[in-house]
Amino acid sequence: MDSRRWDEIKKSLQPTIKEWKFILNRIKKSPLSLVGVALIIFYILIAILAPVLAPPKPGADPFMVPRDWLLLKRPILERTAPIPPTTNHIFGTTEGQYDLYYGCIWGTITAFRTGVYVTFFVLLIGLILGVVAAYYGGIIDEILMRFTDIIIAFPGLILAMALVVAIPNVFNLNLSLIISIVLAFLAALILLSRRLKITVKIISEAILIIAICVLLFVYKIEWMMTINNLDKVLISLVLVGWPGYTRVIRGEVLRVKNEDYVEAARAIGCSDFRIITRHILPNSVYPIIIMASLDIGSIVLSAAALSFLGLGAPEGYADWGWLINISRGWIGQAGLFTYLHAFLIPGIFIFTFVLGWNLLGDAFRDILDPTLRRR
Amino acid sequence: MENEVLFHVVKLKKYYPILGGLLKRKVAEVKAVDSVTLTIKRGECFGLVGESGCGKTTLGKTMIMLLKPTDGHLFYDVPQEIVEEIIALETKDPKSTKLKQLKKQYCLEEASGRKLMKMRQKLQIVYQDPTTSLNPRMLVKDIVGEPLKVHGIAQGSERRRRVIEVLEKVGLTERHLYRYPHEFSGGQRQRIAIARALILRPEFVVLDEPTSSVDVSVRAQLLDLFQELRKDFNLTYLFVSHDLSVVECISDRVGVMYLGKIVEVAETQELFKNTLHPYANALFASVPVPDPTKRKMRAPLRGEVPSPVNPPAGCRFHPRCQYAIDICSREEPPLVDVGNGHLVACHVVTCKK
Amino acid sequence: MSSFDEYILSIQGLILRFYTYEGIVEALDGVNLNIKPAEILGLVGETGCGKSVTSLSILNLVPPPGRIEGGEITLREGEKTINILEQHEDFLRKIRGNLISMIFQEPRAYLNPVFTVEEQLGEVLVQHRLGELLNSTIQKIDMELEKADKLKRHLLMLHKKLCLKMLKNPRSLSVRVASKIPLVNGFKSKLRMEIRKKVVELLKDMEIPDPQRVARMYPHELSGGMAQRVVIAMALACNPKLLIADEPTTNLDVTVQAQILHLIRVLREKYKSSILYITHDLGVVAELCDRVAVMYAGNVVELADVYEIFKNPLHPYTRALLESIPRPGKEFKSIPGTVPSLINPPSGCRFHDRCQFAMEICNKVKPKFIEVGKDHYVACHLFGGGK
Repeated sequence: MDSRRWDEIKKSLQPTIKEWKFILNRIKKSPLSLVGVALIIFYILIAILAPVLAPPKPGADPFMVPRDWLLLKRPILERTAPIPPTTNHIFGTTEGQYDLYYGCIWGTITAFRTGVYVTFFVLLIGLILGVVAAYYGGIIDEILMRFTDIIIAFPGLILAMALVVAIPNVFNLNLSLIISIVLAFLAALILLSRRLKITVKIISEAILIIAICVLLFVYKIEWMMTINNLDKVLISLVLVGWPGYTRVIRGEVLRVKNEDYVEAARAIGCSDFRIITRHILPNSVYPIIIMASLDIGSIVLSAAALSFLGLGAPEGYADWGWLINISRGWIGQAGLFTYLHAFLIPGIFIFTFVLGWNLLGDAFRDILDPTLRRR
Repeated sequence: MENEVLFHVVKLKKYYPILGGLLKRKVAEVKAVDSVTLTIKRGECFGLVGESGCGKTTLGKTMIMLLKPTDGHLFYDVPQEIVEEIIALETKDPKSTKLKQLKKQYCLEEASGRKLMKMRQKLQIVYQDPTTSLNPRMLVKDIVGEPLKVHGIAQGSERRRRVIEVLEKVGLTERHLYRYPHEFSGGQRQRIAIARALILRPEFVVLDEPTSSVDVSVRAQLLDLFQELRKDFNLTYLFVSHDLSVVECISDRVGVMYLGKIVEVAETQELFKNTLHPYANALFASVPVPDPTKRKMRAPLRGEVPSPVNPPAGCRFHPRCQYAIDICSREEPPLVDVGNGHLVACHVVTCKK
Repeated sequence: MSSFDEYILSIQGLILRFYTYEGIVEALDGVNLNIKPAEILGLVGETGCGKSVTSLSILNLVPPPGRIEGGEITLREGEKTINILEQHEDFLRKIRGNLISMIFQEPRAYLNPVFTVEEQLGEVLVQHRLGELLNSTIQKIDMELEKADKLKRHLLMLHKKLCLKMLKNPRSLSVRVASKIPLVNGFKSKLRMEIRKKVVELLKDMEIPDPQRVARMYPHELSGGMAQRVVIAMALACNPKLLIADEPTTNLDVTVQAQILHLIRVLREKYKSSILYITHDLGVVAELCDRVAVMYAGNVVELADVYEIFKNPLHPYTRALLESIPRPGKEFKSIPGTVPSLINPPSGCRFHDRCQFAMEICNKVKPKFIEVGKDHYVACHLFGGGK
C-alpha cells in the first residue's frame, strides 16, 4: 500500500520534473543567465555563512557594525577618517571606524531582507487588488484603477522619502480594532460561502460577533510598537510599489479570463474562488515572476538610495547604503584614491547584487515567455 | 413519464451592449441571438449550421446558461402543458403571482445558486479548440476529475476510478493521467475535453464545432466516438458546426441560422434534399464537393454577412437574396411549418404555398 | 521526372531537418514535386505532414532550427534554370514578391495594422514596378504640357526631368534633394496619384466593391474575405510566375470561400501565374486544382491529375483519405493509428504501420517516387517503388 502511494507521488511529479529539466537546459544555454544565477547563489551563500565569515561579538546585536575603539584613540584630525584596508580590517573602515568587512557581509542579509519583505507584501497587495479588479470588472475595476493611477502619479522615490519622514517611530496600536476588523472579514467570508452547512454558519457567526463586541467594548488591547528607520523604509517602499504590480496582474488576469478553459470551468460549475486560484492565477504568474525578480534589484537600490540620503538605517546598522552614507563627506578629499575604498566597496556589493537579480529576471523572461518556448 | 421534448427554447434573445462615450453608456447592441424558438427531442442529435457571426455558438452557450439570456425562456425537461400554460399566462396576465411561481420553478433562466449547480451536471459543452479549452497547467487527471471535485461527488480512489472509467470510454488509458495537455495530439486533446464533459453523466451536451480543429482522418474517429457515446450514455446533442458534410452525417434534424435568427429547420434528409430557404440553398451550394466532375462555375452567393449590430430591416437576408419581393424589406418572416415538421422563415416560400 | 520544358518549378529530393531540444525532427525526407506554367497544383495533407515547410523552403524562408540538408529546387526563367538553394540572399530577395509570392492563412496577421491598404499596396508597387509607374507619370505630364502656359511649362519640364532621373536611378542625390523643395516635389505627388490609380485598379481586379473606399481603410476594418483579397492583390501586384497559397481559405466562411476560389480561377486566367495551393480540404482541391500532390509525414506519396486522383487513387494513404470523407448514410471510416512523430520516424515507408496492404519490404526499404501512368507518380511498393 505504501509503495503504491509512493509510486503515485512519483508519477504525479514526473511532468513537473520534465519542465524543470527543460528550464535548466535553457539556463545553461544562455551565458548571461548563468552569470546572474552564479551571483545570486554567491550572495545567498554569504548571507547564510555570515556568522562564520564575520563572527559578531558575543552578546551584541549582530546587525550593529563593530567599531574599532583603538583606532579612535588617534589624534583628532585623523580620528574619524576612514582607513584603507589593513590586516585587521580587510576592507578598511569607514568614517567613525566602523569595520567595512563586517558591514558588507551582514549588509547582505539586510539586502535580502529588504528585497524579500517588500516584494512579498507588494505582491500580496497587488494580487488581491489586481485579481479583484480584473475578475469582477465594472465599477470596482474603475475605482481601484483610478486609485492606483493617483498613487502612480507621485514620483516614487520622493514619495517614499516623504513617507519615511511622516511615519512615526513609535506606534500606539489599537490591537483590538485590528483584530476585530480581521474577525469581521472572516465573518463576511463565512456568510458568503456556499459550502458550509447552515447550522455551522450560524454558530460560527454568533461566536465571531460576540468576540468582536468583547474586543471593542469590554477589553481593549493596546500595544506600543517601535520601529526603526529601516522598517519605515520598507513600509514606504511597499506603499509606493504596489500600483505597478496591481496593473500588471490585472492585465494578465484580464487576458486569462477570456480563455476558453476558464469558461469551461464555469460550465462545470466552479466557484469564482476556485476559478481564480486554480485556473487564472497559475496561468498568469509568469510575467509576475519576471517582474518580481527584476524588481528586487531596484528595491534594494531604492533602499540604498534612501539610506544614502540619511533616511534609512539608523547609525551603526549593517546596511550597504548606510555605509556609503557616512563616508559621504570623504569623497574626493585628499586626492581621488585615498578614501576610495570607503564607498567603492559597498558600492560594488550593491552593484553586483542588483546586477545578479536583473540578469536572473532577464533569464526568467527568456525562459518563461510562452511565445519563445518551443511548445 | 419522460418528456419527448427535452429542451424547449422560446423566443431566446442574447444581446451584447456596446458601451461608448465617457460614462460608458450603451450606444448600440450586438443582436447575437434574436428571438430564437426551437425544440430538441430527447435522444436526438440536432445540428445547427451557419456562418461566422450568425450566433450559433452564442445560442448553444446561452442554452446551457453559460451566458445569461437577455430575454426569452428556456424549458429543460418540462412537460408540454406547463410550457403552454406559462406562455399563455405571459400574454394574458404578465404580472400574476402564479406566473412568477411557475417561472421560478420551471424556467431554466431563472435558476441560480444551488439549483443552477445541479442543472450544470446535466448540461455540458465540448469546445471547438481543445488547445485553449484545457488548462495548460493542469494534469489530465485533474482536468477530467475537476467536475467531480466541484460537485463533491466522489473522493479519493473512487474519483480516480471514475476518471479512468470515462477516459477508457473515450479511447484513452490510465497511462495518460499524469500528463499535461500539450503532450497530446489535437484529436487526443479533444477526447480529454469530451471525457471532462461526460464525467458527470450529463443528459444534454452542446458540441461546439468539435471536429473543426482536427485533421480529416481524426474527424471520422471522433464522429464515431460521438455516435457510440450517444448510444451508451443516452445523450442528446446540439451539434454546432459550419461543416455541412459532418452535420449531414451525424444529425437527425438540422437548423440553419443567419444573423441571429433561425431561417429553416427540418429533418436532415428532408433539408438537404428539399432546401427551401434561399440562404440555406446558397449555403449548401457553396460547399466544395470532393468530386472534380461536379465543379461550380460561379460563386452562389455575393456580398458578405452584414454586421449584427445593425441588421437589415424585415427579412435579414433580403439585401443579398435574389428572390426578394416587396414585403421582404418591411416585415420579418415568421417561422412557418410547411409540412412534416419542416419549418421555413421566408415570405416567398410561404407565399407560394 | 518529366521533361524539362514542362515545368517552371521543380523540387527534387528535398531534405529538411529541425534540430530541437527533443531531438532531430526529420520534417521532409526527399520531397519531389513539379509545377507547370499557369497550372493550379494542390498540395494536400494533414497537420504535420510538411506541406507548409515545403512551401517555405521554396523561398528559403525556413526559420532556424530548421536546416535544408539536401535536394534541389530548380526555377526556370525563360531558358535558364536556377537552383534556388544555392543562391545568395540578395538574389532570393529579388525573386521574393516578384517572381514567387506567397499568401497565408490569416490575412490580417500579414498586413501592417498601422498602414492603410493603399499605403501597403503602394509599397509593393513602388518596390517592384516603379518603372511602369514613372512611365505613366511621365505620360500624364506630357499631356499636361500640351495644355499648359509658359510658366507652368517650366515647372512641368522640371518634373519630367526628375521623373526620368528617377527612372534611371531611383536613389540619385538630385531626386532626393528635389523631394524636399516645396514646388519642385510636385512630381512626387503626381507619382502618388498614379500609384493610387493603380491600387484601385488592382482592387477592382479582385472583385472588391467600392475599391476607392476600401483603399483608404485600415486592416482591422476589413472582414476576413476582404483582407484575403487585399493580400492576394499584394501578391499578384508584380505578376509573379508562381503564387504559393498556404491554406488561404481555411479560416473563411464557406460562402466567402466559394467567392475566393472563383476569384482565384479568374485571376489565373488573367495573370497566367501558376499557383501552389496548400490545403487539407479535399473538396477545395476538387473544386479548384488541375493537379494534386498528396503528402504524408514528410513525403509526397502521390502526384497526379485531379480527375485521375479522385477516380483512381493508387497510394493506400490517398485511398484511405478519400474514404474517410464523411458521406451521409455510410459509416464513418477512419485511418487507424495516428500520424507518427517525425523525431523517430518509422523505417522504410513511413505509412507502413497504418497501411492495410503493408508487405515485408515496406518496413525495410523506402519506396521510390516513380511514374506509373501518364503523369501519375506514386511512392509505394505495391507499384514497384523498390527498384
